[in-house]
Amino acid sequence: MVRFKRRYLVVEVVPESGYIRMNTLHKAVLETVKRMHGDFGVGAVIPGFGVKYINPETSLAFISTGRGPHRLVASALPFITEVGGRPATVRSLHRAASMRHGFIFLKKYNEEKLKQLEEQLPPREREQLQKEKRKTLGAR
Amino acid sequence: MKLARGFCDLNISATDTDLKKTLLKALSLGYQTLAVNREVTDTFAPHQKGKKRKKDDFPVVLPPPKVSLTKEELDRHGISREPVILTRITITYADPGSAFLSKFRNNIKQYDIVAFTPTTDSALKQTVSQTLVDVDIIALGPEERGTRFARKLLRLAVERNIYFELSYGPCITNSTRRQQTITLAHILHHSFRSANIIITSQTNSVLYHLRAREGLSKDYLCGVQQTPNNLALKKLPMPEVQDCPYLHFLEDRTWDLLAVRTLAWVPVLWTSE
Repeated sequence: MVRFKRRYLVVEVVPESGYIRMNTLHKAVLETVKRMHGDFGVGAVIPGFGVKYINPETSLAFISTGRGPHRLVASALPFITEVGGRPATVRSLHRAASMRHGFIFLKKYNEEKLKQLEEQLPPREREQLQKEKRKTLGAR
Repeated sequence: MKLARGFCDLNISATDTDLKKTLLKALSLGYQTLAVNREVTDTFAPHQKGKKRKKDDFPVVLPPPKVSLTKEELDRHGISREPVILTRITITYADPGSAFLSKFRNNIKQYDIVAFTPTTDSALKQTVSQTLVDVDIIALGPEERGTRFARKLLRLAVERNIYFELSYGPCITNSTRRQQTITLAHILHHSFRSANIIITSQTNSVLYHLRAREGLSKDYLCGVQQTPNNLALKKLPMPEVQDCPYLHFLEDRTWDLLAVRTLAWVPVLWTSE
């Protein structure tokens, strides 16, 4: 039997207030999988399931599952209404085959978000931000 | 030497107050081969190694129970085929260094089927590699150890013709056990493609015993589709010679087998991916 393959779901967790923690997200996903797919869903999802990474500032997280049961998790994510007792929504952004590919997507996504935020800034502040960027990242 | 015939249920609890009633009910549901199970637990944990074990610390291994069914009892329940009643012992232990196996080796050998439930990785390693007692079945319990089992050891067990057991009885009443059994089925599928698996009832109540030909409903408990399972049963290869003679089956009755190598636990919903 060949290796155990996983899928990493890149999700954005948007709470009403405060920060999300890994264990609360873990619990919320399992509860929703149980609600949507029953005991079979939970039993199928548990091997290989875990919240591997969470960025409290950007509210982005990586959820790892086995290949196959990842469809059960992905289909249950839109139905999450509460995380850690607080109202929250979960948006799936990407499905990656490894953490590395997940981070490659995350880098591109964050760069696009930054660009969008830059465009909303007044011209003076935008120039200042670009100056600082050039300073830290070097000329491109 | 008794040979298994027809549908088999290799785990009927021996602590049942009315064991005969359970056996007769199982036989009337279509089973022909039953194994009366007796459980023995060695409670000595590995971290107690420094402590000297007294005589009383060892669990007692009783000789196999003797159950006989008269012709009148069989006729009353409408059982026409001659039943095969086997005896089975299930040993739960954690410490591989324990002298329990060598001490009670002769008593354990009196049983027709020997099953082990190792609760630690080192105990699982010993179960697979030891030669003191011939192991027929490994009944893994994820509720004790979580979901991590060394896949190398599981594959080694399959190579040594040791079977893994999945029980549906506890799944019927307990939601947590249901989840754990499904998780275990998936782990065994990932490890060795569900090659050496048997399905048993592990029930001591007549209420939770499923009919023998309800094999497909047992698979529905795990969400497996019917058609591939039918194909899997029909395509089953002829059983190779096992170390345990009680897992031999009649050549012309392969369609009749329940306690068999089954591919029924394949998570069919996503094999297309």
